[in-house]
Amino acid sequence: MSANTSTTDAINPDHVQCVADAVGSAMSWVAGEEPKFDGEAAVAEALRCEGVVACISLVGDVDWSLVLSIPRATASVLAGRFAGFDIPYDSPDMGDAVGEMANLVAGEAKVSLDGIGLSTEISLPQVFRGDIIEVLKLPHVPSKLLAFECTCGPLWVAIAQSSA
Amino acid sequence: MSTVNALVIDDSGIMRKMVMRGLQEAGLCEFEFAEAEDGEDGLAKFNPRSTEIVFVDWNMPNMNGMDMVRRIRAQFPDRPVPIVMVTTEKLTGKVEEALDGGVDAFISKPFTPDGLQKRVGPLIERVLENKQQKKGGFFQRLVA
Repeated sequence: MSANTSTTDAINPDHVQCVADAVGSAMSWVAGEEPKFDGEAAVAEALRCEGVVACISLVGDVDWSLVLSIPRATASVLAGRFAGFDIPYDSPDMGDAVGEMANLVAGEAKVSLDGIGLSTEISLPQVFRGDIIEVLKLPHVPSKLLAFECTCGPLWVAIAQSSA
Repeated sequence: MSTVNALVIDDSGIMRKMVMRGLQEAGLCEFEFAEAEDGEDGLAKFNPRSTEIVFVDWNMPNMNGMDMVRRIRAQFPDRPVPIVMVTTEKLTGKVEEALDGGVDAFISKPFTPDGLQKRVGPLIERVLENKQQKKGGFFQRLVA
């Protein structure tokens, strides 16, 4: 995938790698397979469909919002694999499941960042479900959009720096 | 097989279900579960007479798991009910903070039934032994 329109250079590539590793580790457990990291995604390629989005903050030596975006088809399969039982897409349990996935990603990112000497704390997640989820890039906000692919479909993780 | 009364506290209903299923799959004993959504709810549902083991998440709204554990330990110093922290926190400092604060075992999410069995098994044995002793004491008093 191309890497251009969604990124600035303000987020340290080592920190981005920590998040990519965290997604790999957390989602391996969730999905039973390690998702393929497709690199940085262009905004135009991301989501723009029905799906679920979970936002969680990491604050401390970094000050980030992590945003896990999962299209409906991917979410339905992932949530079932995660819980071990079917979770209807329209049920409250779907938000619960995706929120917990974001929590797991943030937990792994926290450990990864600690490994390079950065201390952080994790917020509680907020989850949104919508008919058309579209990633809109805010100007002047340093961010990265990372693309992943499981056998059950694509998912994205965005890192947005909350303060410089 | 003996039944153990467990209180499972997590703001995620899915995680509560996964913890309960994991415990059942671990095959340590039969469980009778009560559920709570946060620390406040957990404190309200903790029954010092009947709750035999507690599984609690750390990061929750209203009252987090560590604050709830400290409150239980302070309010019921004579009831050393085993408390297991089940959380995405996994750094050494957090584990130490939990153990110092009154947690008996620490399980990092994601967990497996094997991991649950390894950490929770000794605590369940302790609970079952206590039950057995209480039962034995009761019959001894009856005989005497």
